[in-house]
Amino acid sequence: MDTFLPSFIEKLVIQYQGDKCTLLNMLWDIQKHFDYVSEEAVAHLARNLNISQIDLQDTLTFYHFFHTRPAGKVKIYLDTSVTAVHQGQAQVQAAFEKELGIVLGEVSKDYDIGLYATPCIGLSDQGPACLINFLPFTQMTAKRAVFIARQLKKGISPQKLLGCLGRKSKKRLRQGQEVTNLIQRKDFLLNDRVAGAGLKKAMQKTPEDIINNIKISGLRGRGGAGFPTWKKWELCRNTESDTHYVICNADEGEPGTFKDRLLLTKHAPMLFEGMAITGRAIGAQEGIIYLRAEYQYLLPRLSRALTIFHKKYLFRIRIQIGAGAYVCGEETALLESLEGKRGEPRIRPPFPVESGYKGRPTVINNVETFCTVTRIMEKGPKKFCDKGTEQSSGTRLFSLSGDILKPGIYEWPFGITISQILTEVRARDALALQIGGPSGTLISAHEKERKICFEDLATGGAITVFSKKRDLLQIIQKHMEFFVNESCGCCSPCRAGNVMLLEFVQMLKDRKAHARNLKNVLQWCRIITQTSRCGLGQTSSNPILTALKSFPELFHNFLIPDPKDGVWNFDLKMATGKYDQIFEKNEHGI
Amino acid sequence: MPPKRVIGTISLAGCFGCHMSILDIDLKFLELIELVEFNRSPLTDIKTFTKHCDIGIIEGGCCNDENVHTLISFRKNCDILVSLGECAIMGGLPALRNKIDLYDCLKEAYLNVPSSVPGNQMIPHHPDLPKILDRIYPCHEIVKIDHFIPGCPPCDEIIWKSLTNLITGKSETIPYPFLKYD
Repeated sequence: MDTFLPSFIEKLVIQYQGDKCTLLNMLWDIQKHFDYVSEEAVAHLARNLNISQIDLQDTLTFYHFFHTRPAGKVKIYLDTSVTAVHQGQAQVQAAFEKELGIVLGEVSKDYDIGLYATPCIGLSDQGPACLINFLPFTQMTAKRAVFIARQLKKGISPQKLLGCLGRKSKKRLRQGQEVTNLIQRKDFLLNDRVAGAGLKKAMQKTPEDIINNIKISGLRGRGGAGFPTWKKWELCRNTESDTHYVICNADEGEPGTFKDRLLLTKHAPMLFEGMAITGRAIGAQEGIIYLRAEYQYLLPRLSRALTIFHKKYLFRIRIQIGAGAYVCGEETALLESLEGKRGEPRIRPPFPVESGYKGRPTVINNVETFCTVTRIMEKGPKKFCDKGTEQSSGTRLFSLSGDILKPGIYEWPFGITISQILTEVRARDALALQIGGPSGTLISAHEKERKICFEDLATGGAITVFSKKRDLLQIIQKHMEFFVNESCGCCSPCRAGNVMLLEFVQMLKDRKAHARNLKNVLQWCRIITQTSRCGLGQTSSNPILTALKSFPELFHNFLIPDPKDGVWNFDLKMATGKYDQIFEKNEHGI
Repeated sequence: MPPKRVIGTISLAGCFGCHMSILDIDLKFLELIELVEFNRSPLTDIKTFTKHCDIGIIEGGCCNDENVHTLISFRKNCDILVSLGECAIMGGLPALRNKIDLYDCLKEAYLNVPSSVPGNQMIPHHPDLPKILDRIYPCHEIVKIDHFIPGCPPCDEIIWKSLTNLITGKSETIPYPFLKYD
């Protein structure tokens, strides 16, 4: 194989015209052929691209899905998000481990199968789920895991196992499909659409009119931060440049979110139209969709839809696959990743609207934002802003999962209250709700009058309901672990700070935390929030801060009070133990 | 005239640099001694507390058991404790050894050094000598610390401003350039 490697890489570099921006694609191709990216591969690729090996490794090792050691022909990625854990991920993991004779993170040498953990893969409504060679397997049980593992050991390809529930059970999943997109409620965005109508109407308008229409609609970005869409577009349009870019952020990585999956699966043309409308508004001819690696299985379907779109319209769109990094959902990190570098956030300003992809003015919006734009153009902005609240107009999609009888995707107008949500999703014994994933807000189910909107509870679209049998501290711990793993390590407050927050939660769980530790942690939370470079660090303290607000007893009941005299019970005997040990045998310590 | 405030200072596992920085306030010392008197401190050479202090200033972290006892006695004898400088706050330079096993560290320092005399090698060890701790502990892990003054060493301006704030009870902000070290 090694003799094959140099020529393979040479061809690869020619195929991508030596463009360093396509580094992620080259690495994916190498990994697909050789199962992992070896040191030799790095050496050859670096030589062919005329960059240093260290620069290449810098990018390579940043992404979770790139393996630098033999990782198995078949790679199983288990969803280890907190929702999956509640759905029984542990049993599935144990079954895989037992059947393959390895533990999580290892490769079975006998069968060339690797088993890995990965945070949320966008299937929380039908978990526990896993990706096998990036094909989705949902509703896993221990039994199914055993069945799948045995088939894989026999050398049967994962493709053939899709939809199979077990050996004896002839029954297959609904229509033999693993992923079902359960739409529980439709409204403005998902109601019957006339294909092409939005874009057609936009083409008859001037760019200024389009921006004005979006301004009237009051549309705010659906990614979570809620920046007014029209303002972003106008700023980008006003920046002079030879080229402008439209980029779609399809890196839906916030644990518990899966509504973009629905749009990408069922409504891709709506997304393409939205991007083309944006292109007309800002004067761009080119668009890029940055698709998270976990959604690779959607690529064939998306490409087919794109081919049809390209036959009708001039606006060019290409799809770039990520490689597993939550931080790449941050717009400037996404740009870095698109340029084939580590997904580390840039320092802002300049903002992407001034200097984005390849230094050109760029608009980056979420999948749902583009789709909403298409509908606003089709139906007119008035119909959109009739719904919602004053500062959060319209409707939006929500991904509902957790301890509820009706999980799936709901389209609700902004301003919906917690009590309405709990009734509609048929929550069982609800204790708490996580609004907007780990970086969002944890609230008590008693806060029934609170509203989902930018004025009160802002969200990127995920709502997870936890019942009374769940351990909130475990949830907070899982969320902090997530941030520790996903911090890109670029700035210290986020890299080191989150580790300290996680240690505190672990101490609290073990009933070892003192009152002073909480005080200390709150100070760190402030530092991390205020001094981190990007949104990840600025929101990573939220699991602790919001839980402290909604469930203060969770913390205060378990804290050990501090000694009044200010002298902590320091274990001096333990601290000098090592020193005493040295001189136990020999007084000279030799 | 209000009674003078009493101050105690000590250098634990530090390099005395922070104390030198206190001396850097220079002529302002004349103003300072109008407001305060020093009790236990290397500046007065008073070895044990002779009265209760209002403010205790700690330089350095804890590297041996004597440091721990001294720190605890400062906590018991002072109303307000201040960690002065990097070593007291984070362990500082001595904390570089925190990742090294204690025996390996002592071996390197006393047995494997070129200056050790063959046949007469030993790690100093005597009941009168303090016992070395397994790692360096910052002061706030051992006792409650009320205030932290960062810097290596903190410059005289910060020390002066912090001290006068503490003595007069005012809270004057310290300009950012004084706290920026890179």
